[in-house]
Amino acid sequence: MSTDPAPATDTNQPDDRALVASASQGDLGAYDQLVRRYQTRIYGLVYNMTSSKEDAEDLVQDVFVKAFSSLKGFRGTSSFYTWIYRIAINRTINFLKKRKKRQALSLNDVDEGVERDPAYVELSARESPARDTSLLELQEKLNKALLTLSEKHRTVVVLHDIQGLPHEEIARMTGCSEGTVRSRLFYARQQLQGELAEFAP
Amino acid sequence: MKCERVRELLVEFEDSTLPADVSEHLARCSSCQQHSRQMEVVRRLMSLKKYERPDPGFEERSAVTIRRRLEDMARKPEPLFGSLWEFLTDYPRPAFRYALAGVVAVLIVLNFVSMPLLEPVRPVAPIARIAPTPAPAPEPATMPLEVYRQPAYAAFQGPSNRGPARVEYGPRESVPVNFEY
Repeated sequence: MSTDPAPATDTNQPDDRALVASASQGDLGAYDQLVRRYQTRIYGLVYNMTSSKEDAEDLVQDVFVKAFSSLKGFRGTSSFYTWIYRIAINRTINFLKKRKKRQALSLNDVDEGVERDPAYVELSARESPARDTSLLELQEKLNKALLTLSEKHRTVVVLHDIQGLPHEEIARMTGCSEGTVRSRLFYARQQLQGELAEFAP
Repeated sequence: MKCERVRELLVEFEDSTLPADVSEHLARCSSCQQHSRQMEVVRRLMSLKKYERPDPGFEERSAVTIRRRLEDMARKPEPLFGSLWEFLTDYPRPAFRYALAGVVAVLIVLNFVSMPLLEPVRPVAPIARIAPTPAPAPEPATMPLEVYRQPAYAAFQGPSNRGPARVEYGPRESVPVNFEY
């Protein structure tokens, strides 16, 4: 998943505003460009919230279809990027409230770059039971630990610690203050630390 | 500075430089150092999830499906709002929600304000006329002693009429009877 806090913009490609303006007039080609620009990021958010590839794919499609329906109501007070994230967050939380008891977990593929990540290298080198943990097991443990969090706490952990977004951007996306975002991060990490105690230094 | 406050500030300044007083506290408090290390491990473990990728072909498959659904919608428009609940909760329109909540609150207040106040009932005509002096009490009824002592009919006495019982013919005379035939 991409960790860029801001959408990558190529000078040769039209910016979001122009694409949104065309899409709101019914230009599906313009909307298709927006979809291709952001769908992987939205997938990352939804997958880490649900821990299910299948649910994530379905939700990504729903998010973009519903967003298209309400494009005319988008007044451009925030970026399209923030706006689509807010729709994805609300829709995923609604979905999770309905899903509650049915949890079919499935794991994503992992990019081989993880083996060069300093955090993973350090974890593998350390003298602890965690050293023998395979990448697959680690992935499962991280997903299960995430699922123990409430939806709101999980959202901030996914947006900040996984997707690398700054606090103020998360505050805009979730519709709460930066202080609330920090407070949720604080308590979520404490809970995660309890779940992942075997990796503690 | 208290440890709890320092730990909150560690989150606040995690993406920037720590203030001097927080750094000083951290340098001499082993408990906060341990907490900081633990939180850093959690943060770095979670950051490993950024290497996860969707299944191959996801981008194309998803974009094509979305395009097809939008084209279907253009031919046969889906209801704009699938349900009222979805309409109210799925889209980022907090102003709309606050406005709706305000309207509901105003309606509730108006309902209470427009309710008539309870006032004492004022009768248009007198309901009852109160006599100035109480009426004299009636004389107690009297009964001849003979009638009271000798009832004209027999009285049954007993727990039920299925077993042995006594039939009273008067205040003094009783004869046993049996109802089992």
